[in-house]
Amino acid sequence: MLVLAIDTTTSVCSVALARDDRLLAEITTNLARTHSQRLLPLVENLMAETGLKPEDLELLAVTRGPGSFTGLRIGIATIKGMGLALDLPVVGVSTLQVLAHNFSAGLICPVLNARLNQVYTALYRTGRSPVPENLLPEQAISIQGLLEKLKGYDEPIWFCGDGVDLVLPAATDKLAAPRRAPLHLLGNRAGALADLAQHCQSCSADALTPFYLRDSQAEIQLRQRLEGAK
Amino acid sequence: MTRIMAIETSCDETAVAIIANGQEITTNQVASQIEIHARFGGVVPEIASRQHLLTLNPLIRKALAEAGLGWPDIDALAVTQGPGLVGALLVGVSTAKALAWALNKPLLAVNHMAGHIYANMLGGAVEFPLVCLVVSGGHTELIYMERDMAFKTLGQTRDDAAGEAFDKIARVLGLPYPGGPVIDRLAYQGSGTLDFPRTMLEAGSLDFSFSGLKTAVMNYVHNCQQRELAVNTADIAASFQAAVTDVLVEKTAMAIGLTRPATLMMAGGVAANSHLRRAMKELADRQSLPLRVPPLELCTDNAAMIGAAAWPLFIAGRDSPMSLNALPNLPLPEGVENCRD
Ligand SMILES: [Zn+2]
Repeated sequence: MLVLAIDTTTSVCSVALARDDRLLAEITTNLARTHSQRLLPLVENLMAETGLKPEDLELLAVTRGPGSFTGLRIGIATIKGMGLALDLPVVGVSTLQVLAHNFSAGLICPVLNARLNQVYTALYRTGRSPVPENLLPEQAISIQGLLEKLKGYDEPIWFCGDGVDLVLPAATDKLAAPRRAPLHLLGNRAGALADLAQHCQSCSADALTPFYLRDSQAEIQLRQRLEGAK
Repeated sequence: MTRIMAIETSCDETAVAIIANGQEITTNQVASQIEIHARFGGVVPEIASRQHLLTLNPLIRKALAEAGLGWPDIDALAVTQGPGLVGALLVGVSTAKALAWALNKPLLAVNHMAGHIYANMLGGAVEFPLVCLVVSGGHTELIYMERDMAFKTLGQTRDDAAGEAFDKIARVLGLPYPGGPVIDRLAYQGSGTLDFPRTMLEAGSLDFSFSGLKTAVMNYVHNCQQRELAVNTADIAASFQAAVTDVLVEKTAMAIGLTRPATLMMAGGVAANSHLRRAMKELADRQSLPLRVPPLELCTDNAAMIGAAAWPLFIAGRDSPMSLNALPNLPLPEGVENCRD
């Protein structure tokens, strides 16, 4: 099965083409220019290098969040449009699970900078099944709150994602064996997504939904005002 | 037969249309988010973006189904590139790019304000040169067009847009959002006898300013409240609207005197205002000019107008690359942009 995988949920813009158990091509950038300008030209590059055409594709995969609201919408709108045009099934996978899937063994804690003094995070165990097992549900939480939840583990925990440097200084005091992921496993890779997608449930392009993990500021403020009025 | 599918997501309407040969509306789908934003008292950009993402695919499917068409019947994809809310625009731009790439069809990037103006082209060919009064929630402009896709701004607002003034006054009067249609209806029950200012700026200027009018209305309302007098909202609505209309018509008359156009046009959401439509018709008649105003459903944001404005781009072969980005402050192409004659 020929899979196109794209990830635009963080500052990384990554695209990959995989056929069954072979990664044909992958391009990963972590540069300033907007994903909106970069994404489709990168996909065009992949297709040119591999000599494949849009109509050769059989499955489309995208990271559906959490992450930058705008970034994840660029990826999802792109995959939804491709799925609609090519009449293909799509797979949406959690950004955090894709990060954990960079590893093939151990406890993995992906952390994304969620601002407002929080991180988007979860805890996974990898190496026991084709898909990282979820030990701590995906959530937006303070760094201290996260470390409290990780305290009980005495084996090494590997941290990855764009929030590692927010967490690691504090983790060194609190946890038994915190580890920083090496450079090539630190950020999102569409290759990992392409592999994961083949083990996940697909849906129609229309049914694919983003995973924001946090309401918009306007909704949060409206709720606070309504609660205050009670 | 050449068919363009157009996508518009610049603000709070998700819209998809299919336009044949640049003029004929095959289908025109609009999914409004007004109710979703009403509880916030205005459009919330993040919520608009989220809603566009959920609505767009089903709306595209609906457009194709109602037109009885499939992808092979579509010759190009058009999309609003800007101006507008950047997050909202990006949903449409990303989707249109994906469709154009997957289907290997041309991608046409359309300016939203050009779209509003070109809503008038769906009524048949017009004679150039023309003057168009563009009035919406974000814009108040007098545009001169010597030919297709060449826009010259003669005047524009220095503070609030006309539609923005309507919304703010509606809020002061405790009327529901959006304010324009409510004030239009309410004004029929009042008399326009309250003396609100008509700001004309320096002699000869075709620019607009509505902040003085807005302040005058707000002061009047506060004054009534302080003296515990009843606030006659219908009279205020009628008087405010009369002041806005007077300025818009007067400046348009000046633009006509200056440029001697063959056609007068009006476009944008506020062009749906019934008092303004009547006043502009009277102006056109006085000047013996044909007046083009879009039907009501094409005044507010829609994708048919984007398809209409994409037509000259398609004819000229001005396709956009896959690196196309949304531009929240995209200006109208000023001066000479040559299309193939
Ligand atoms: Zn508009």
